[in-house]
Amino acid sequence: MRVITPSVELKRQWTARVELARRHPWWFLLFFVWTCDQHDLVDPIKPTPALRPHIKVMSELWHDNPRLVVVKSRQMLMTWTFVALYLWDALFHQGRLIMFQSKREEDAIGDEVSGDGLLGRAKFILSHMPGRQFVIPEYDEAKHKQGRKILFPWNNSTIWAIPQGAAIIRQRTASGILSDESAFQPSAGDAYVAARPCIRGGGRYTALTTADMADGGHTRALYEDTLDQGDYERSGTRTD
Amino acid sequence: MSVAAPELIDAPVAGPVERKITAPEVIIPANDIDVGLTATLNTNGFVAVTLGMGADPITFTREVVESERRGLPAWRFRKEYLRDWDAQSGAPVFDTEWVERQRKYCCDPVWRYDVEPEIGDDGNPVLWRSSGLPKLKLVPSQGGRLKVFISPDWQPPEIPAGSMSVRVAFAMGIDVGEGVGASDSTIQVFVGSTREQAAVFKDNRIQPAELGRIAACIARWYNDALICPMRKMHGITTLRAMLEVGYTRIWRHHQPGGLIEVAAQDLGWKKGEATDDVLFGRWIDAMQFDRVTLHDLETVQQHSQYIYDDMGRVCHQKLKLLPVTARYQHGDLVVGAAAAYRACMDLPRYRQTTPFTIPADSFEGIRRHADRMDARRAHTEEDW
Repeated sequence: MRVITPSVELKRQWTARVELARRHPWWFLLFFVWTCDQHDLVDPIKPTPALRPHIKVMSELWHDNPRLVVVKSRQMLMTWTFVALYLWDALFHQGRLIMFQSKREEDAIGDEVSGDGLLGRAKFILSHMPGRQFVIPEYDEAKHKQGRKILFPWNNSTIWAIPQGAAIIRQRTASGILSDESAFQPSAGDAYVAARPCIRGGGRYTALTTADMADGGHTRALYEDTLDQGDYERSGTRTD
Repeated sequence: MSVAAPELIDAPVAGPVERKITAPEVIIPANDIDVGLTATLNTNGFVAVTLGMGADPITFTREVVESERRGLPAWRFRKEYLRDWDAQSGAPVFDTEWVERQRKYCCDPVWRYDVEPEIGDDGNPVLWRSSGLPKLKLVPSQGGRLKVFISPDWQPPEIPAGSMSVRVAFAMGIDVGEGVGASDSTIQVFVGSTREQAAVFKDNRIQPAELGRIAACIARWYNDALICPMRKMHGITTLRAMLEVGYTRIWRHHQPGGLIEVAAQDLGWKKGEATDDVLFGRWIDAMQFDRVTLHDLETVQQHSQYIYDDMGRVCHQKLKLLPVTARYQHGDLVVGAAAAYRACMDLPRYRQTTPFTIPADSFEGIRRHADRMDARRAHTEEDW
């Protein structure tokens, strides 16, 4: 009879989990993503509730449809979910340049300690990832985690936190853009125009937002499919 | 297509499925609280996803939703949780309850003042040496445009009567109109420490430059109040007029580090008025949380005229019931009050550096006077 030691069994299990996570991001959410719930006073750091139907469906939608505009209610765990999905993209694919865009750069960078902001959430997930040595054995926190970026040099991928606007997007060829609360970004329309080559070339673009018109109606037009009607203020600049 | 789990995985769950959206699809059905999750492929190539509270019944129980509904103003709940893009369109910026609360403090002005040129002993108007313009002074007048609720020598009630007196700091906000009978030019004066309305001035026939001179006169009367004027359009004219008559205690964007700022380009509020969160947003907060006290009924009433437009911006309401002349005078008192409140908040950063005055009949005063006379005599002899 063949005896399998626990460590060997554990290693096989993690290797299999990594293999699954490589195939579909939902497995990555299920096995490797822990989040910080600031509302929970007892046990704030916990696995992401990937088994909830809406999170599973959203990961499937994101995986199979590169361009998404998601209009949501508050408190749906969507920011955590999409940050994890784009992190999956950077971890398991070669040559990805992912941009996390928010209204202010501070919001995009956030804070790793409490899992705040977009890049802060990604760093938090990496720091608290169970079995990280099986997923990314090359990862060195001191070297690869920088102020505005997370670098994955072994597969030439980068995640970069950027403020609203077109300037940074226009100069680079991003393979994925997550625009968080895009309806609250006055320059969302300009950023979208700058990202068009990336979108047309097959890159991912996710506009995630609650309803607002601070962007001059751009995100609403994207969502309601009325972009070509030009019935919104494209520059989105608020004037008196 | 389901991605099956290998045998070794301890996850007895169904794997993910392929979800390429080609037609409108209800993926998670609605419940009795809200919609679930729906997806539609737009012609612009984007998949539009609606994610409602019905998709997460674990988080959004009936109790949670009801509690949120009660805890937010109606339009905010519709916007935040029911994804209603137009929820705030037409909604009042200042809640009726906040306005009603202020209405209780309204009263008639204690005094009314107006300005007139200062006349010298020789019967001629006194002029500013720098600009040659006539000096103005405030005089009591029955129909005066300046309504005074708190006088400059007002003493805070916490100071024991007769023990000492303090020089109360005041802040002033100015909204500048064209002066052609349409939009009002307004001046609001607030007590710096209590944020209480001290005086209000309103006129729609006053030229911007004249407004600047009157504002400087009122500010001097109010213990050299800190003025925050609007810079846009005609505001720059008002600003220059204030500088011409030597008034420099004006709000500025950047602290010049001890120097007296005389260049007009850095003075005054140069951004938006009603749409600027830093100016108007603070004023909305002040009204909401009762941080201010308004005594002028017209100022209070003008708050009801501000609504959110389709784009979520603060704007004036076009009231069809009001006469056309009244329509153009909307909200100017509110903008002035918002500017005054801004100046109130920044008062500690503008400490007044008044030189210490030596009494003329003291030994030091006599000595300095003798020095000055010696210097003048020496100077005259040199010239001679």
